[in-house]
Amino acid sequence: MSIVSRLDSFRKQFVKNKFLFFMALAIMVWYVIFRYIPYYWNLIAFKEFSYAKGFWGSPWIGFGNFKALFQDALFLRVLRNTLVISALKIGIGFPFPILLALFLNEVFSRTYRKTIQTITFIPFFISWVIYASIMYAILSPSVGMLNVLIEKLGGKGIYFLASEAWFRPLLVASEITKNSGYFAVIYMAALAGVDQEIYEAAICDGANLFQRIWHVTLPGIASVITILFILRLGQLLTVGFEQVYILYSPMVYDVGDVIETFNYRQGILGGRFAYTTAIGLFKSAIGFVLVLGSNAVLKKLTEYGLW
Amino acid sequence: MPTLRFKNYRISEKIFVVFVYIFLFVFAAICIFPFLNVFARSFSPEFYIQQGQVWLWPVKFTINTYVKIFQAQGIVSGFKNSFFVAVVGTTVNLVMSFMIAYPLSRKRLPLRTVFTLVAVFTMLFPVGIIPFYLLVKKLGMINSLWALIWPYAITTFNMIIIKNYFQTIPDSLEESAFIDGAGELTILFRIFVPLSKPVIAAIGLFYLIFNWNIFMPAVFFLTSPRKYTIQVVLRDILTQHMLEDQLPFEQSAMMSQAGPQGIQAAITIVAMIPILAIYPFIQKYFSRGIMIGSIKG
Repeated sequence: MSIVSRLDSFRKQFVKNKFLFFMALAIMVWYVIFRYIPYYWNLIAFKEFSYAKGFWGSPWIGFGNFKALFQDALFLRVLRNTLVISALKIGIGFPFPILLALFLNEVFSRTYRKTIQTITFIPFFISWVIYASIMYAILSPSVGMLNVLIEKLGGKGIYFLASEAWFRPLLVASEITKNSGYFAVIYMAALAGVDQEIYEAAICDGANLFQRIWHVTLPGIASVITILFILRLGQLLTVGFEQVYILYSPMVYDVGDVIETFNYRQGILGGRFAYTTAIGLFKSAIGFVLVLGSNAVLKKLTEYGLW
Repeated sequence: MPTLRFKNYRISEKIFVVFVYIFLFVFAAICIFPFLNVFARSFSPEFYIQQGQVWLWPVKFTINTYVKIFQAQGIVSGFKNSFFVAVVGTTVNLVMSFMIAYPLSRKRLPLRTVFTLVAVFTMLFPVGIIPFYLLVKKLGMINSLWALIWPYAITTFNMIIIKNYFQTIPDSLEESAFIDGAGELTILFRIFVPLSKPVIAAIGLFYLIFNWNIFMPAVFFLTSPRKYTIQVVLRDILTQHMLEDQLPFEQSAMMSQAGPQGIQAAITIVAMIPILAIYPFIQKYFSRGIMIGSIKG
């Protein structure tokens, strides 16, 4: 088809469907203002930005902010914390709901399974502030249920939220109790799609319980695991602002301060806009590369991917 | 056909299944006991909480704490602000998401690929929080509840779910309507809106939860306590013990009175009620597989 006739057919399509077109265009205005202008403003990461001089008045300084970043001991501490906490969350927090789903799948009683699912599914929908409030109540050093219990058993009460040793385990544990039930339900839904005849065939062939889990159940949810894993890996530098912000305090900055909370204090409270934008850009770029990279690699290995 | 029965299991399998039952029980208990404890606290006088006597059931049942929190100015305005964001925000979310999901789902949309790419790219490459903050500042929305609504008007992931749902509605339906002389608006309101009720309900619930729970933007953008949503009010109670200044209580009257621990518990419970109220619907739509199908596909 020649360019002219292509243009002509596009023009016809446009005239016929201009209602749809302008509807979409109206929303694209929203996307440009609220998503693409901030993308563009990421460029202040390459400037010595001051709010008074504005975007155009501030001078370009190339990669200066990024260089400063990796020489800043405070940022390196925050990056290390982010990576360690994220690795713990992916290493323990990611497999846990899979385990939960596999276990729920072996329960005979439908009522028992539904009850467990209903109880563990709720906390995902509760905000981190409310969840933290509950944690404060349980973990409070003097009147928290957990510490009262420890003291009753003859132990010594622990100020969990102010303890460097306990802070990271608490982040991982609270994420597990809050979100595992939700992800387990997603895996269970994938399992509902597994053909029962495969189980029957496996039983006829003499497969025991463990062989059935390994050869039938797990492959049944492999595609969902892969997709959720790719998405999770893209969040490697995202620990979760709300969780850390509401639970941490200066007493645990050494082990608990992460990129997101650091950015908030330095940028929004401290006004170091260019510096923190550089951090944000670094974080987004790493996430972008990780999603694309892990998608490509896992697609080769497992044939499953995001697209 | 072979059926699975516990009595036919081998001994190793039996041990495993028993372990599974116990493990699930313990995990569910760990998940729910803290909620029950806070519930019990909210109905108990401060004295018994401070003494560590309140476990999973209220001691000396009282509703004084609830009476007290609804007399506190900051808490009442926090709830009002949260309701505003939840109701107005969710309406904006649904209208805006619908307005882009519908055209994107139709193959006849000119420049469909371009529009789709513009939207999808924002999911892969998140906007940095600082440029985002500068934008909200530039738009003059700092310390306005609209800062929690307009910048979050569309969650692209939810929008794609609606779009995928619309794509299951065949083109032939609108083609025959066109032949019958129907206009675009008729097709939109007579065919697509009625057909999309289940997906609108499901996504509406998700937006509603998002709006009720919205916290990070509230911390970033709201500067005066008068504008605080209930989530931010609760943060202040947790971190700054705001209530001790706002609601002074006498030690002597603590036996029957509300105190900081009880008040924290009561606000936590009240802030949770909207979520608990819609929980049955969440489960219903989840089990219908609308959300899950989209994650898979």
